[in-house]
Amino acid sequence: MKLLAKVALTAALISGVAQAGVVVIVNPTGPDSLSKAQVSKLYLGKSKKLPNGAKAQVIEQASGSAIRGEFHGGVTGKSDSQLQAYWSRLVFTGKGKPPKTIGSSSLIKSQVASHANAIAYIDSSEVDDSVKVVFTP
Amino acid sequence: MKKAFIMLPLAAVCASQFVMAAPTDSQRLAQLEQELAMLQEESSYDSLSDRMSINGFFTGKVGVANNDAGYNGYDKDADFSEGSKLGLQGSFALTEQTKIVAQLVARGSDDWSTEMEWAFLSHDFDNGFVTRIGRLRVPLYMYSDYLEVGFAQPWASPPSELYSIVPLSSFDGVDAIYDFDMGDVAVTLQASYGHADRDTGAALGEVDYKDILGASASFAYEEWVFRTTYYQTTLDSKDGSTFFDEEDSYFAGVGLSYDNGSLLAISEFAVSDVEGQYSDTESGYITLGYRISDFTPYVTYAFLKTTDDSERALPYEPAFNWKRNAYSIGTRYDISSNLALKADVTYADGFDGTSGGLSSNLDSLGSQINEDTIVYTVSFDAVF
Repeated sequence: MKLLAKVALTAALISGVAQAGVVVIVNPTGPDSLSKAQVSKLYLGKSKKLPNGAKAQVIEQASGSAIRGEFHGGVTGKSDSQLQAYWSRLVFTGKGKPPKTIGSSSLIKSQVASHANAIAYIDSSEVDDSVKVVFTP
Repeated sequence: MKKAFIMLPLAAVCASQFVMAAPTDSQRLAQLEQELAMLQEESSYDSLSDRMSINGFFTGKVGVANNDAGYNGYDKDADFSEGSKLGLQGSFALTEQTKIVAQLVARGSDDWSTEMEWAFLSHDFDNGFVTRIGRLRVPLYMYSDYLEVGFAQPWASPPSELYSIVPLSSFDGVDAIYDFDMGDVAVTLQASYGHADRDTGAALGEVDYKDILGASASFAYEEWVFRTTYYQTTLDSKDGSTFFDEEDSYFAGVGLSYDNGSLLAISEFAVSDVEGQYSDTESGYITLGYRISDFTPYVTYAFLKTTDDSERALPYEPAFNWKRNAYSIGTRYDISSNLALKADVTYADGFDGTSGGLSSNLDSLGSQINEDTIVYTVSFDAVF
């Protein structure tokens, strides 16, 4: 019985992990898809514009959050401290500043839903009609 | 009856705490909270906090050597001020494209007196071109732009065999930066013009770096960055000293780095040439590091030598003939995402009868005192 419970729990956990995952979202009026390289460049400040030429409003999840780790692990390949070192190089030369951080996925979603040039990432389980998925790492 | 009145508010509190109990109310509350947060977010967007940013960095460093040769300024007494520094930077956006950036740095080695390290107005033409005017960094080395920001570097201290060749980190003038993509290669071109006055110490006095002119180019492809730079200036002694008399000098360097997130390799090589009796040099280093979770252990080999010893007049020989090898082993440990601890041991030898380029390593007769030295450094680096 105990074993059965464990198996059921493990199965539930695995299926949970398999279903949920980070996805990159934009406004419904935004681009239909972005490549990993395009997303990575936007999140590292190497490009500042969306494919349609509009200035992108890039949104980050809170530093240290699991979803931020998952996103950067799959897209930019940088850990939180590597990102901090990367941005400090740009910040302290006046060449750039890191994307705006918003600490809640629902707020991020509403920002993306209300700003045409916004780009963000959230858990796929939180996606609804107000935003459009453009990339899945 | 009385009891019911007491229980009612309690029930309400419970209901709001256990949101599952009253789905409609809690949903409305959550929606209101979200709308409020959005309103706050909207009102702060494009506001002062969006146009202005304050950042800072701090390095607390202690070093001690096994003798008084003076490598990196350290001797047998543990020193907490040499290499320690605090920096504050403000960035103020005037328009979407134009901003003012000022960076103040207080160094322990200068008794924590504050200096304006950067102060410039930059304009971004939004087509890849950025121009800046004011006090700027001389972009001689790969790490010149963030020379002061220990957190942005893998080492406890950048290899001094290369990084101390030109005793000038900033100048007053203009520069232009052009960023563009050449296929998969991200190219950055930078050109600068300006001048600087620097007190270079007791021996040479104050020096005027006239007509600093040069350019650098950097090419980034996947994990690789290649950089090359050339700068020239005319050195002229000021106030009392006559050592430099309109002496032309140049600096040329190349650098290559590789960083795939785990393996880190950085190498730079440079030559510098100054007319007259002052040292002409060749120097370089290679650093290899490997990230293991929060640790980045590294090893560095560096060298420095003067290339014009045969042309130098005898009285200047002991002071300006240099030869040195340096071997470092150390590690960076990321304590948190904005705080790192570094420990480093550097052994320098191969002075070959010279001071090793360490001015305090010559006695009053101009003879070498120590033929090698070991320096231990521990550094805390933070950005905020």
